[in-house]
Order: sequence, then C-alpha cells, then structure tokens
Amino acid sequence: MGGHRARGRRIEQVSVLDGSDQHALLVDGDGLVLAGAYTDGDGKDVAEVVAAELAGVSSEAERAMRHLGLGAWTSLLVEADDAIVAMTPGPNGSLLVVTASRKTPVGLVRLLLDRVLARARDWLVRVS
Amino acid sequence: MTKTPYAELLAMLSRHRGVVGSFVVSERDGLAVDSNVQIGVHAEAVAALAAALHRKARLACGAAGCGVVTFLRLDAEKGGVLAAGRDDLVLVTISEARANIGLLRVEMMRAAKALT
Repeated sequence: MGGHRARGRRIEQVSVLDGSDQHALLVDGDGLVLAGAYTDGDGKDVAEVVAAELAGVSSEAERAMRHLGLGAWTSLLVEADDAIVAMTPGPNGSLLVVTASRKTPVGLVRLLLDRVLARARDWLVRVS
Repeated sequence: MTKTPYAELLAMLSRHRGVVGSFVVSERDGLAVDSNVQIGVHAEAVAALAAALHRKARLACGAAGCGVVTFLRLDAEKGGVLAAGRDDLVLVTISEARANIGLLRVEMMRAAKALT
C-alpha cells in the first residue's frame, strides 16, 4: 500500500493521522463514501471501490457475531502483506475505515481508529 | 474421531485463557478440518462463519490493493474471533473478552505458517 495517499474530500478527522501512509474513510450503510479519500499506487482514486468492498466485510462481521452470540461487533482489524485495515461501526449506520502501511504497529492502528471515530462523530454532528 | 495433524496445535490454542474453541477451517467450502471446542460451541457453524468472514476480508483486501491477508481480528462486546491463514486453510479461535489477544496472535501467526 506504499503509494496510497489521502487527498480531496479530506475531513477533519483525518488530521489525527500521522504521515502519508495512514488514511481514513467514512462510509455510509450502502457502501458509499461520506468523507475521506483513497488512492492506489498509481494515484488513481479507488475510494468508491474500497468503500464498497469493505462495507461487505462489515456485513459479514455483523452476521457472524449475530450467530456466535458474542454481542454486537465493535471493531475488525485485518493484517495483510502490504497494509493494515481497521474498521468500526460509526454513527448513523456508517462504517469508519482506517488504513495504514504494514510497518505501522498494530496497536497504534487500533488507537488511531478510536481517535478518528471520535472526530467522525463530531464531524457528522456538524454537517447534519 | 480420527486424530489429525492439527490436534496438538488446536489443543495448545484452546488451553489459552478465555479461548472457547479453536479450528482449522477450509476457506473454500467453510468446512471444519479439525476442531477443539468447549461443550456448547457449534463447531460446524462457527467454522462456516469464520471461513466466510476470512474469504470476504481476503477479497476486499485484494480489491483494495492491500495484499494477502495474514491475520484477522473481529472484536465484539463479549469476545471475538481471530483467524490466521494462507491459501485455503485458516486457523481460527473464538475467545471471550478476557483472552490475551496479543499472545494468541503471535502463536496463531506462527502456527499458520506451518499449515499445509
């Protein structure tokens, strides 16, 4: 994920992220981007694709937790070869996604997710 | 029940504090290859759900250009699901909130490299 950079539609919560390899996306319940941006290594904006794909993951998480009886899901963290992706349910049925390069400590990604969620809540209150 | 090559690994994971079940699952069809679960845990259902979740995460990460998924952690109010794997076989644990996730993660990632 080394070439990914957030640009355009930048929202205030992104400012808690440190460095160009950490990005945030706020996605609505239909998998549409509310705020944030995501570009691939070639500079192409792939936020819509990423949002739609990751929204599907959250639906799967919700389904799994419903059957396992462990209560509502609170976060999902995926470690991949090139990136770490963390997501959590956001306000009003939204989904908050934070991505970071693989070299970012996993615990830090979790911490960033919590901080960005707090900013996202404030931001949504202001714009709604 | 026939003892598989994964029996000792699963027994070791299930001895961890807060772990209520551990599985080796085929991601392709969602079937449990082997499991070590406490009474009351429905191994087949958990295996299918974990496989579906891992498959979805793998496909999404592929589409997002994040590379191959190596570890997945789903947290919920009363516990969570951990999964580590490559290719078709996925190592899964179901845990309560009191589990030591950091230790489980290290052991699962180490063990997943040897899954064949």
